[in-house]
Amino acid sequence: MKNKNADGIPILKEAFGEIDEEYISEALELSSPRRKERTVNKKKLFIIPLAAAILLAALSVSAVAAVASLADSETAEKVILAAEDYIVMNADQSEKEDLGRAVISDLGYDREVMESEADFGFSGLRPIYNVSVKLGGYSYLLVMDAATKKVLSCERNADESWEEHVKEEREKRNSELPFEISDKPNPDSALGDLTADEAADILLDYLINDGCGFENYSLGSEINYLTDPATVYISLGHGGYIYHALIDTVSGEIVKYRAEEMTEDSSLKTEDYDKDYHLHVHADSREYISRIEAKKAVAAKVGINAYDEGYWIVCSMTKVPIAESGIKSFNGVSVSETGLEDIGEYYSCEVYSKSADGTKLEYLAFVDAKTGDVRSAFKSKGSLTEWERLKE
Amino acid sequence: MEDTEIIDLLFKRDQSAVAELCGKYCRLLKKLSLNILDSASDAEECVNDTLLALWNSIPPNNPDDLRAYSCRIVRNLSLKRLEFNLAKKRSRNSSVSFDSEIALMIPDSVSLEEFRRIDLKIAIDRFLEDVDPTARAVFVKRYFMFERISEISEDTGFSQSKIKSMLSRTRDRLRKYLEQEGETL
Repeated sequence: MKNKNADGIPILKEAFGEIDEEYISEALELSSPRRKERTVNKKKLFIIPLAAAILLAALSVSAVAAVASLADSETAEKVILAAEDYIVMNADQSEKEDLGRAVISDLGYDREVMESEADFGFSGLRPIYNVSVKLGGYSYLLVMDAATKKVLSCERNADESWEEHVKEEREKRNSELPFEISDKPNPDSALGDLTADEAADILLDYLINDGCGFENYSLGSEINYLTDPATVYISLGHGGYIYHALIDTVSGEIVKYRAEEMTEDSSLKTEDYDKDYHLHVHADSREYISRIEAKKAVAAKVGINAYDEGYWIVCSMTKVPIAESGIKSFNGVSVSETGLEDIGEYYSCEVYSKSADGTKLEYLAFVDAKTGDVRSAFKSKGSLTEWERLKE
Repeated sequence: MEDTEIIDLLFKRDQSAVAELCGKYCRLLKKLSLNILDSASDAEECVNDTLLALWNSIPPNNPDDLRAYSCRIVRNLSLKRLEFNLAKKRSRNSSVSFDSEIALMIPDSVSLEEFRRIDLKIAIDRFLEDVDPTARAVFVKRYFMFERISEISEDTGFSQSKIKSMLSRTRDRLRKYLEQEGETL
């Protein structure tokens, strides 16, 4: 957790409590039609082994007792569901590992769990799991509610086997990674917030920004503990190339990058990444203009160079027609002013100026994602809600 | 019973309104409270306090959306209860995971204490107005309702990694937005 402004957490948490009721209602509606009722899988009950059946019967007695004492049918349902979970847990080791990962994810981490064990039990009438998880140089002992999977308590201790694990992993990886890595792993400081999936998004974003128009690709990602801070190692295959990247789990920045071409004899040949080549290769087969093309169009419209380091252009594509999306305005610019009403796919772009004092939103622009036409562009009048339309 | 009928009963000071309210929303309110608190009995108390707060606040208030209005009350009461429990060391609640995420939305260059409460509310509402509706609903589920990633995934049908990715992007955008808003204060 970043302690950059601990005082801000309660302020922001309280402010979220003031969110417009329309948005709260919207969120509640999102779940209503799709929520699946969780019911006891009766089919499973017929095929469980005898020992499990006996266990289930014993737990059902507890469930009856719970119903009698608490008069709460939900409690009985939870106990029966817990019994089911227990059967699943005993049947499949991978389930325990998944549970360990889920628990660690709940605590704010998302990385490979080294070892995970889970045992079922009761705390009073409450069904619980005692979960032991090892990762990142620590062992975690957790007690969680078996029905809700909510963590009730957590204890963290140093994991003495960690260094040995790192040593083994390091020896294995050193020969595999296409990058040099730092000498000394440091599990204490190597904890970032970035998940492997988010890192994959960053690499994809980077590649798409360079005009590749990626659509079909293969992706591999894993946390690399051996750098400090930890990185995610991503490999992505597309169009005869494999792209490798190490992405910092703290800052989210790509710290190492390399593209390798798959040659005819299937051996890898390392080459510097040639964005113009890729732009050429993929441009004809794309349904939409790439994000970099959208950025170039916006830059031309507002009169700056797309590669000017003093500016930062952010474009995001939406494939839902604006009339169906529920969007009413962009930073105060109403939908009718954007000129997007008659098209299905568009880029909404923001142009920021960069200075030592930070970034400042200067322009908004809206681009037809199929034709590349800039439908409208606006210059800030000094605030984030007042805009002046740029002339055609 | 329709929400408008329940509100009518509240305006007539008819106590059957409370039973109707509870029948319709207590389950939802308890779930929301349990997302914040680790004790069923504490959650029950918060739900009861919410019913009392609704009885006391309507009238004069006449909410457009009774369900969202009730959710807001139970959320805020539950957070107060959590604060009380933590201060008295009565709970080892796992809200740390939410705190670490909320910290990611705090601007580097601007102190949130400089915002007036009303400014911050307006800024967040204005920010959410421009967020894609699905991403916005996911954001509200996580940070208003404190739902777990797995729950949101089950509700929406999106993978957990997609949910995390959506939240990450919205958090980043909000942090940048608050930075810009803070500069104009």
